[in-house]
Amino acid sequence: MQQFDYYRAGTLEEALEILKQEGEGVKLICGGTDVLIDVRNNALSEEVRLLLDISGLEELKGVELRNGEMCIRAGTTLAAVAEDPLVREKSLVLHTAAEAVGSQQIRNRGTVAGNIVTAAQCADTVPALLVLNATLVLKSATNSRRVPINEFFTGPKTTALKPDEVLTEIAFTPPGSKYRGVFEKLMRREAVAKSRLGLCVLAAQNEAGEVEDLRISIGSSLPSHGRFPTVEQMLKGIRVEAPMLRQAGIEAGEYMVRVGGTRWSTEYKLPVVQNLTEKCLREVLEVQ
Amino acid sequence: MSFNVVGTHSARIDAYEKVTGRAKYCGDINYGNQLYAATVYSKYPHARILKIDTHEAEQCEGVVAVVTAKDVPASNSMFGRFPVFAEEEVKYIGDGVAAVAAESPEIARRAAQLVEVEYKELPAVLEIEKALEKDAAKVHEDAEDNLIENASHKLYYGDVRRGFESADKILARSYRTHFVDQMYIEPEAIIALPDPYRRGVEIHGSIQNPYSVRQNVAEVLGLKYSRVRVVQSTIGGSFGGKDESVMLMAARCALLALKLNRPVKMVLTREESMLESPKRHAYLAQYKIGVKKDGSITAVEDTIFTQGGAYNNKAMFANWRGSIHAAGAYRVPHVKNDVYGVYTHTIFGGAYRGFSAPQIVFALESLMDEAAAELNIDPVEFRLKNCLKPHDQLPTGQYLHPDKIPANLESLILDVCRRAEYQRKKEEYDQFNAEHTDEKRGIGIAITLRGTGLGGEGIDTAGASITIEPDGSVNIQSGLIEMGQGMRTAHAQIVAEVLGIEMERITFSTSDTSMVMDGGPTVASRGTLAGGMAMLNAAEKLLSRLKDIAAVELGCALEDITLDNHRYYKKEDPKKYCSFDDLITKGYRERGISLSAQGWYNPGPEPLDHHTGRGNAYPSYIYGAAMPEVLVDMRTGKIKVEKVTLAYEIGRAINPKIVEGQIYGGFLQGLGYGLFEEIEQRDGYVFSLNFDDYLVPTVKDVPDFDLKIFESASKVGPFGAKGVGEIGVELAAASVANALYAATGKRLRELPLNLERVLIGRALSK
Amino acid sequence: MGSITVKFKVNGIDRHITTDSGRRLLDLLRDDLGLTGTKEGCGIGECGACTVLMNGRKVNSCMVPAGQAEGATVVTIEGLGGADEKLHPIQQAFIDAGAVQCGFCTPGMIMSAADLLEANPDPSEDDIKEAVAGNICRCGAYRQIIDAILMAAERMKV
Repeated sequence: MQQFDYYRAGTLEEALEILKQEGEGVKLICGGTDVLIDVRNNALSEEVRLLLDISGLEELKGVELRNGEMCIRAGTTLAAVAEDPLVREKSLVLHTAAEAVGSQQIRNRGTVAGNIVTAAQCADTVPALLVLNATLVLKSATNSRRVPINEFFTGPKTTALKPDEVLTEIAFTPPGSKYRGVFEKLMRREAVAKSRLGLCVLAAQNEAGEVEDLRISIGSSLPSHGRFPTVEQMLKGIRVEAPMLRQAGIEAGEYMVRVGGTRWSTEYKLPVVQNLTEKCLREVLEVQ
Repeated sequence: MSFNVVGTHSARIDAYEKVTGRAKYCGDINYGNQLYAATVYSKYPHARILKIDTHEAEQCEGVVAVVTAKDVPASNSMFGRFPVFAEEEVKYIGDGVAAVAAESPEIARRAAQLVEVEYKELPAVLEIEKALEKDAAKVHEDAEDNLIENASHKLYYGDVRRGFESADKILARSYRTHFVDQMYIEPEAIIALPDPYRRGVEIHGSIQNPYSVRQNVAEVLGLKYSRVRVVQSTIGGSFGGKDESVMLMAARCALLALKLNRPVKMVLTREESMLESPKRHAYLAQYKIGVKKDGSITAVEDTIFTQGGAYNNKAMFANWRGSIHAAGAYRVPHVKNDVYGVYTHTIFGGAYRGFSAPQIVFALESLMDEAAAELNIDPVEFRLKNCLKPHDQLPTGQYLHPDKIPANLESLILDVCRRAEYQRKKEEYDQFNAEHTDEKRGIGIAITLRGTGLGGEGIDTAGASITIEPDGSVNIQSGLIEMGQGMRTAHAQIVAEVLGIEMERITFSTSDTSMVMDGGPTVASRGTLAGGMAMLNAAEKLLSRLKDIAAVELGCALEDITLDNHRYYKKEDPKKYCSFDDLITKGYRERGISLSAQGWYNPGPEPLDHHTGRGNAYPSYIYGAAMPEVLVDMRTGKIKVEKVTLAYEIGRAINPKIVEGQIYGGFLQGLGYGLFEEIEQRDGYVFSLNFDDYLVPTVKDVPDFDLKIFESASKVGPFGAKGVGEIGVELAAASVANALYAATGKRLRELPLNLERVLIGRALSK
Repeated sequence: MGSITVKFKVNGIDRHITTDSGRRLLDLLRDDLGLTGTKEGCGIGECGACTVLMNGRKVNSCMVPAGQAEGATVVTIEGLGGADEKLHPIQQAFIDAGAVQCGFCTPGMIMSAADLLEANPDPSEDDIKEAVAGNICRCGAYRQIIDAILMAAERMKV
């Protein structure tokens, strides 16, 4: 196992200062459920010399509705997010996604921020945050910026987070009352497993049955996390009929192959993406 | 017949320490001045070792020694061709090349990384078919080819040519199964202590077979057996996985302990355990069956190759059992079974609960379903017609005489059909399937017969010891081991029943090679069958002595003494009795009669000719039928096993709750095996090394079980208990594969039945 | 690695341990405090054998860096029973329902059950399955484990 120094930051300001000084030499640890595995597998980058523990920072904990925007501080555990009444009421999908991560033991420690910045293909909360059009607040000692989550994932397991930055908050505007949402995770066994595919869909229709908004993200399908814009475009403004859902599913599969190419798993994932996209759309859309 | 203790849900006598956290598993135990050892593992699946440089590792602060093959005192070669340390060649990715002893496990592992080994990589033979090719590289140079020695077994009965000639239809099918791991939650742990009194070593650990560890370590060290004492620690699950290859750890720690004169402890990481421990043999089973239009079977012929990996850990035994059972629970007039073991440069097969049965049952029960489908006969009907019945003869020539060996398959099949409402469900599911495309439902069946005990595999002996202490407490010790299956409790119940005492009086000592005669391994579900008979033997000896003491006290003949309701009394005069404690006072204290006895079970070798395969393969058989109901998601390939109706005949349930646990637990392991457990291997390297990638069943994967235990007038085993530890695993994969076919019309002939296979018909790999 | 001092409460007793910062809460419990009831099965937070209660929540102690135990209140299996060897109702129920086989998952399983019954004294079977989904029992005693927890809940209501 690699060896590091360890330091518990007392304040966010202190943590940011250390990051400013040490940059790549620091690995942030909060819940620890991903980082400790990397430590065990000797998988941290060679430059890392210090584990900077920000799990004690109260200023990074809590969920609130602020000026109509849901704000989840980055150090909030997945369990707290899943149990939060505001999240359950306002997000439609985030509590389900948070609840799908690992086991209760893991959720009692792991954070949403950790789930995001680790950027694993199978991260469960990311598709939900993508369809919620979440914004990430990234802070450094000298700067604070807001990055839309669909600009955050820049490549396989790579994010826009700079070495001197901390993800401090995740914000999203709650979808309105017209929205319905669904989160579906495909696993090889019935519980506590990495997602083989993780779909999240939000949709809103007007009284006439026209699709006013449609947002789709599928984890473990693309080289890096993102939405499925061509599928969303296909159905926007349309009065949905059953065969269109099938078409949308097919387009989801084709989009996946267009963006990521044909891979060893495509023979399986292609039909499943098609099938599950159709299934999820049927759950959130009223079909004429 | 009714008993006081046998047949009741007695609480386990080893549960208190487990629920309180007080139970000490080997990893929990520490000795003063102990060192920690770590093994240096191979970097390649197959390579020549050119040079080993331990210098840098030795220089590490806290490292006390680094040893290799040259440091092995007497013999570097152990059972099954295993080397303590690979010397000239590494033959698979988990071969140990050296070991480090250091003041902490972290230092030991860090230093192990610094041992420099120069290798010349060699091509690796990785698959059964490749290993069998004429010019294939030999995994073991001195062997003739890649067939594992003594692991080729055959069973011929009748004339299959005639059988096929008389068939209306012949089906030839090939089935394939994969390596899986026992994944006991407790990783292997060993502590070796230098023993100055024996001028040898004392070894503690998570050891399923203390006697074979003793023998192998003794030979490695060049010591007589009595100078190596092996004491079994509480084991956190084994299922066969800690049956032999822990001797590698034991040998490494023992030689270090002797060399350094300090205790040496080694606890494997999960990743190391995955590499170094045995797996369930992967199978390539080629079957041919002949059937008549009326549904009767005319012949079964099979050639089965079992992938043994780099070493011969159990292939010879497992393959023998496989050869006996390859034509399964059926009346087949002409049988030709050929089973072979194959070496490859991969992780190796060994003992895993079931020991050839889950693989063979998957192949055979799939084949039976395929044959039934070919004839347009319902699979249940097909089995009712062809299953073994009382008075039938097995392919070895053994008869299933109802008063000696009951054959209850028919009643088990009818029972599960009744409880599961087979006909009604079949119709309901057919209707459902006609109306739905996204999901399908199906109900399937599989049956099995399993020879109990070691049978012709070896001599089924076992030892036991009971001491009644002066104050009336009783201590028991078995030569076989407890690994969670409940053996100790079953033994205690037997003793309590025979001696007419309360369970609370009984404590147990852990298995210790220096205390009880070597009776062989705790395998083949014989903990109760053989171990229980030994305990029964010891108890009956003591009973006889106690009755004798009572006879003297009560002034009557021995035959007049009756034991009932904890009292020893004269048949005609129940008011005059001796209590158990009275007898101790009268017999031991006043007359000096020993109240300690050794028990031994030795049924003698089964009358079986190993050359012709004729005779009695096993003293008796146990039976099972499983009927699962599945829901298949056709969009994703996911199988959900919703309900399983089970029936097993096991002779007698000494403790019904424990029996239930063995069957549910075994079946669940079988479900993991059949549905999603998989070791990811590429080019001889192993990639799924821990619980995140190697998935085992969670609580949510448990189906709704409906189990009925059948008992019979068994003459084998204590109170007729024939054993139950393994049979649970056998039927899961097979019955679910059949239910999947019923649901979807898809016949999968390869395990596991994972998402990809169900959806697209084949597995995918990186 | 750096040396750190961790002050925390374990089973009601204040503890003060100076240790290497690379160690985990599991190591502090097992090696420093001799509380070997909590087990290591995988080291990556998957099997649940290391489950303890930390600040009232169940966690995998193999995934808690020592430094994060600072100021925490930890309860292990050893802290569950009453005085004089009296068993907690959950422990007794595990024995009575036949939920113990090899016993290695048992302490973690019982801690998960304790965590559940504290928050939800009248759980459904689905609640129970959710609560122990992160505790693997390879012996497969899940049915009896569910029965034990239902039994304990019933008994604890009185």
